[in-house]
Amino acid sequence: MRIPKMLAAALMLATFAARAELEITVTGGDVAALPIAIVPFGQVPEAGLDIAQVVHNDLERSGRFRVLKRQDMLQRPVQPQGVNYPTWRSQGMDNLVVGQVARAENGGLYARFFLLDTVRGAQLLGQEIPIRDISRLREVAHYISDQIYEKLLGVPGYFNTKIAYIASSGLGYQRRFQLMMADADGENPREIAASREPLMSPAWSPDRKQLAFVGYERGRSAIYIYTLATGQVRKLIAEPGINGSPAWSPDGKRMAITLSFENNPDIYIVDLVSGARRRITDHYGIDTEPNWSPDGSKLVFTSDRGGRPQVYEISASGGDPRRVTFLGTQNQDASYSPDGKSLALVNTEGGRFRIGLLDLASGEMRLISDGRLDESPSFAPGGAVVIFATQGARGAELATVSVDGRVRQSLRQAGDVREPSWSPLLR
Amino acid sequence: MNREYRYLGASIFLHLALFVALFASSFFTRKIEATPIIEAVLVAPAAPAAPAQAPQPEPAKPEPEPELPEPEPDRKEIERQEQERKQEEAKKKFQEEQRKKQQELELKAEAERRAQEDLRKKAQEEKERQDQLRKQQEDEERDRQLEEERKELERLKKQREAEDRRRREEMAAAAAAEDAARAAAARAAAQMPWLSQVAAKIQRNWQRPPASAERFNCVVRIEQLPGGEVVKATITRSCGSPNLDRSVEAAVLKSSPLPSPPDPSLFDRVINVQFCPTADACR
Repeated sequence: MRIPKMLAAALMLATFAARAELEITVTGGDVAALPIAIVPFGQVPEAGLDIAQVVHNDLERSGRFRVLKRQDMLQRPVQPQGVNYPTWRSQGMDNLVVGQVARAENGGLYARFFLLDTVRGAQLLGQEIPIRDISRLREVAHYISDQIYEKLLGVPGYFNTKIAYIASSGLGYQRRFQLMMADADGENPREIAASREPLMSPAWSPDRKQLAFVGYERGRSAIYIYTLATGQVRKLIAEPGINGSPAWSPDGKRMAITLSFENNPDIYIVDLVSGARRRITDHYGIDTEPNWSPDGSKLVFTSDRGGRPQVYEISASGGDPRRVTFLGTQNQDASYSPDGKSLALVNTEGGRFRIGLLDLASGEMRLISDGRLDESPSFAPGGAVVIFATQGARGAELATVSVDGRVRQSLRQAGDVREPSWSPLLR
Repeated sequence: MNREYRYLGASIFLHLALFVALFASSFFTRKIEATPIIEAVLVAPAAPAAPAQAPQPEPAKPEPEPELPEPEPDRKEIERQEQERKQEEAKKKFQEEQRKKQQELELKAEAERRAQEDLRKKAQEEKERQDQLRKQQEDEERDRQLEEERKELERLKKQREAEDRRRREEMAAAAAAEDAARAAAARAAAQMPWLSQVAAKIQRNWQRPPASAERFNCVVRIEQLPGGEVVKATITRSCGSPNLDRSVEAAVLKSSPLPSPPDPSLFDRVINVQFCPTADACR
């Protein structure tokens, strides 16, 4: 009787003691780009490419990293043993990448890199990548970027993806259109198709093996499908009038397109296996630029049924469309973010065409570009960055912007480039 | 007991009755003797005269018979004397017998009385014994009850004492707890400015990775040295992703040394830091 009471008292005191353990709450925290330093790799002379610089650019362009400038580095170790952690810590560099391109004893080249956590003095990643083709060193660099990105952010990197776009050059009879494909950083451009007549609207298949685009033949449009592996181009649809804006469904089995042969431009869904078509919209206004939601259940499209072009959402099985844009004089060319929560679109206000991000839940719009004539937004896989076409000093060029609008970069291209389309991840 | 009295009474009564009868019989004897005795003498010296008579404890006073015939010097006289003598003898014998009988009776009565007395004594003894036994039992019972009462009292006393002690202890504990709580509250209040400095520093050093979860609530347990050097940061409740966990741990480590309290006595070695993106998520 007495002992339990004493025990209870002791427990009571114990709870006081436990409660006495201090507790504080920290809220907020800066959602900021992660600080990282990419130390120039120690490289054998025959490795011409500055891998660290490629990784640096990749990470910086994503908007999710704050990369230390090389001139600010106080030491340049090439392996973890040489790292003086307090130095990097004092510069606020929580993350550090060191690496080498070296020749193995058997004569083969390899790249080796380490991702280090300077706060804890711990290694987060360490990999050795054999280099079979020295001309593809850039791919190795993008691969390293991907690894770092995924390790630090928990989502896959997208640096080894491709972009397709339309380049045009010349005037009048000299005018020439090219369907181009390049690395995600704009490097390694190559021509896929070329024509004296316009090429438009490249669209990647979800498996990244095919590209759909709109081509003209003697003034008549058609939708073509290009297969990367074979280089073959086949005509999918060539109806009278407009054949435009192809968009692959997420499962790759269907394609949403704009056709005008029945009446005026409306949205159709074509079954790519059977060739069967289904008309989704039926309105006297112009309905165009369809894009699929990531789950394939819905489509967004542009329609001027309200007077001016605005973005509408409709079930992929048809029905009544729902207008989703109300800000600005007009909105068009929308596409879903990979998480399906927002739309990237072209917003027009005060005569300026800018890229906007519309939050579908709240209806809030955020403008993330500041050009005068920005167009054709396309999300990078993962949704960290949007690529779009903008009017540069020497004509139309491609640019990327991080979804927070903080990091904008233009990609070096020759001539007028438009209508970029970011490839999916290779899965 | 009653029975014994009854026996006693009965015997007394019997004795009295006997005496009364004896006494009364003397009257009868005298009356009857006046004539029948002569007649008996005349008719026959038969013995059976007596039996009809009531027992005569005292064969009356052998008074000389008033009608005693004058002894005759002749044979008749002799015969008469002889007869008289015989009669006297018979009478004597009878008296003797009577006396003996009486004696016997008395003896018997005496024996009976003794037996009665014994019985009575025995009964008395038995009664005394019973009484004593009863008394003893009663005494024992009383003792037992007394003992029980004493024990009960003792138990109650002990219980009361225990209760008092418990109450005192409880009160002491409550007082101690209250004191501790008050002291803790006072201390906590005094620690507030220091802790908000700590929180502010950690918050400045906390960088959430981009595109991480918008809702989480995790706890890092900090162990520090006096002077604020963080010797250990342990995630006691995960934020849900390794990157967020790393970010909060880094925030703590980067904040080392933590601000020191103005008064060293306010220092606590362990601080639990809760991290959440919004105050809403903390709940």
